[in-house]
Amino acid sequence: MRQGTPDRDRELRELRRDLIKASDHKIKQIVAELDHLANPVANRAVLDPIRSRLASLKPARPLRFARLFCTPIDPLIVPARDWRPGDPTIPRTVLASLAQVVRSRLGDEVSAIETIIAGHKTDAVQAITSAGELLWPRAAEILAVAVPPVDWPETGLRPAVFTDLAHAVAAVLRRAPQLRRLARQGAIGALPPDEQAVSDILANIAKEPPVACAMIVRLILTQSPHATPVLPRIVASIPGVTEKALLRQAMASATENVLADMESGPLITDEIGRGSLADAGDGVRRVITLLAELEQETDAAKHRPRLRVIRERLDQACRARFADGMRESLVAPLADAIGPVTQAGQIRLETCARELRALETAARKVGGSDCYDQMLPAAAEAVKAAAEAGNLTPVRTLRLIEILSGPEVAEVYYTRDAAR
Amino acid sequence: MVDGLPEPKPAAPRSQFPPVQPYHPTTFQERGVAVPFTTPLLGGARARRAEQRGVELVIPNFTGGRGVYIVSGSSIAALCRPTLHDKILNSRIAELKSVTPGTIRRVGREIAAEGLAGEAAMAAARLAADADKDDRLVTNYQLLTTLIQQANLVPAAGPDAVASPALEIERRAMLTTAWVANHLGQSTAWVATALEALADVIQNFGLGSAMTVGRVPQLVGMLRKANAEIFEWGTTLGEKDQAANARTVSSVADFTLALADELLERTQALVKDVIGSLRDWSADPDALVRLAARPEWLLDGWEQICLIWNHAQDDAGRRAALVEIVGQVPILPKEVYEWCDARAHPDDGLRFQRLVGVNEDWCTGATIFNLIARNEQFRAMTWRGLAEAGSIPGLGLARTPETIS
Repeated sequence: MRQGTPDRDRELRELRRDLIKASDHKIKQIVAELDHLANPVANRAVLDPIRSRLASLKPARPLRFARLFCTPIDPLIVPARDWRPGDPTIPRTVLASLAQVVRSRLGDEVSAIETIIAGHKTDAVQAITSAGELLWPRAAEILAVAVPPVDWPETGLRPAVFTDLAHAVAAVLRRAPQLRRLARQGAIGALPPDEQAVSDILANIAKEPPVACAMIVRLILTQSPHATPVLPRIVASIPGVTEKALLRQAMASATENVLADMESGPLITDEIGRGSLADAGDGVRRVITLLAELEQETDAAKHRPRLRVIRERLDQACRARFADGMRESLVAPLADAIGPVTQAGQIRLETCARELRALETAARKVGGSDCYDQMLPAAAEAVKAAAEAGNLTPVRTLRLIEILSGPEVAEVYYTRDAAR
Repeated sequence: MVDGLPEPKPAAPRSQFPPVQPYHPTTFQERGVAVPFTTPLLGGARARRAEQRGVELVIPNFTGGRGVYIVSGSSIAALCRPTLHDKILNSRIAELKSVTPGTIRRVGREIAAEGLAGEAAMAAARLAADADKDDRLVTNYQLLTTLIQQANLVPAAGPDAVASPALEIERRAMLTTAWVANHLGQSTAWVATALEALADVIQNFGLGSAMTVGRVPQLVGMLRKANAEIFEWGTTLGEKDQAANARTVSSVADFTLALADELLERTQALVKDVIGSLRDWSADPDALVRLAARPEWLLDGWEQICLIWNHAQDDAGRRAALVEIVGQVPILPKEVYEWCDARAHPDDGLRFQRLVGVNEDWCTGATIFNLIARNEQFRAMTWRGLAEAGSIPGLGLARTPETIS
């Protein structure tokens, strides 16, 4: 993108202003277009003002080396202004530098990794797993002995911080394949927690810095909360007193960090409140599982008042996300349709309706039943209005009604249509 | 309330469940036919004629344990909350006079074509219906050309023989049909009708044409590939892990594939000797229909298993897929011994494998919406050969390299 002309600057400002107000779907479309153009200057000019929204929305982006490198530590990344030394988090500003350190020392292995990820996006599960298994353990080896790179001052952090962060990130990356497996199994939900994977993650953890231990435990708590009950069992089975104490300290530190984040930080507001509707249901399920597990702990009493506050915060975030998602992705497209909904449009509407139901089904566990009982029929009314306007065929109406109101209601419509 | 309609009824309490029953079918009819339901809890359900009247469903134990639920077709709403697609499918199955893989497939396709399993399945089912008609025509033509070659009758050369090869074939076809009719003591109209009926019976087998690969050989190929992957993946697992499950699934698949190859060979032999097949048809058409239907009965249920396996994108996905697959592996009834010389029965241990306890959300909680969408994608794939196409546009299914239609 060329710079400098007043007209172009004005257009860019207008575009940025529109983008800030744009719906999630529109933002995803624009990001996909920009990624397709592969013009870094245009990319930065347009997307920089909405970086924080992109971080919550997580649209599928081209899977590049740096993105693959960051995948296991993504939940630990915070804006530089929110980072404090000793926190089990990683400031965003160091990522490019760390990734470059690893890339420059990988040698020929880079091309093997690039070959696997070529043409894939950040939602390519298998490609990330395969390439990650090559990259992450090697990246851990490299970072464990790396010295600050020449561009480190650009991060705004002292050189001594590099070593602490590099070692902590190395500790996470060393266990990244197992952490990923555990998280994927939790996301699929058909299997009980994989104790072997948890054992592998915790093996030799005493050799890692305390902050790295807290990062690892934090990742288990937030990404694989179904495995939380396994942690104390494995810690109890560890023979060494020092190692046991270190792990208990890491668990306490990570739990405190996650609780604080859920109480007042972005874990709930960003990931659920402003995150992608597609991920909201899974996010709510993970938080609810974690809260339930924390309530089962032997010293749960001390957490109870905080957990109550967190549940209320989660409930509010869920209601707000549901209302936004329903208005933005379902009701508005139906009301604004100027002709019959296309096949692609119908698929988008059905996907949105399913995502809303997944969010609502999970969210009801922390409250808001009355609210959802009012909003779901309102969504069904919007579908009916679109049908009456001639924008939805009977079967497309049925499908949306079925998802939003259940198969019993849809069956009544089906029987009525069949009788006509 | 929506438009004055009643609120959705919750699924019946678990106390209303029928008792879990042991399940060792003797015949394929008794095993039932896999039904392409989209409700996750009905995965692996089979339909069969009830002893008294109507149709009953054989549904795998929800917990993954041994035994099955046997319920009348009209009672599935007492067992779970079926999708509208499944309610209508179930009601149409109840009207069937004969429950076979072919009739269930036809009903499933008709309902998908209405759009009840989503946009992709609707488009694919409509395409499949057209493709089916084309396949029948091609098969009929291939049978006729094989018959002409087999009879090898050469008519006296007419004045326009060189100018129009199509006319020459037509002339030879008429001559051959007349000869075969005379040979079998039937009319020429009977021969034409019998060829059409034979085409109906064998159209799923492909006839070795370069233009069409039959549905059944495609399914065999799909199963062979999935089986090889399951076996190979199973060797990387520990004994405490799911290695035993992978081995058992693979051994049943091996046995099924070996038998399918044998049955397919016999069925395809029918096509090579069209005169003999017509003779058999004139004597006992039902026997020939039964013979040709064996591969379909044998392979019934494996397509869903292949789709589940192919849908898994990584190691974690494959572990979950195997849990689902183990509960759906088709039991081989004893009737299979009448079809071949085999005596080994590899699925004996399958029902009694320890299955992993299910997460409370699996198939019932918030994940149910994704699972229904996945099952609807499977229905689309069933109706459309996506082996080359890769994925359904707009649905973002990452990996299902092969399917059948």
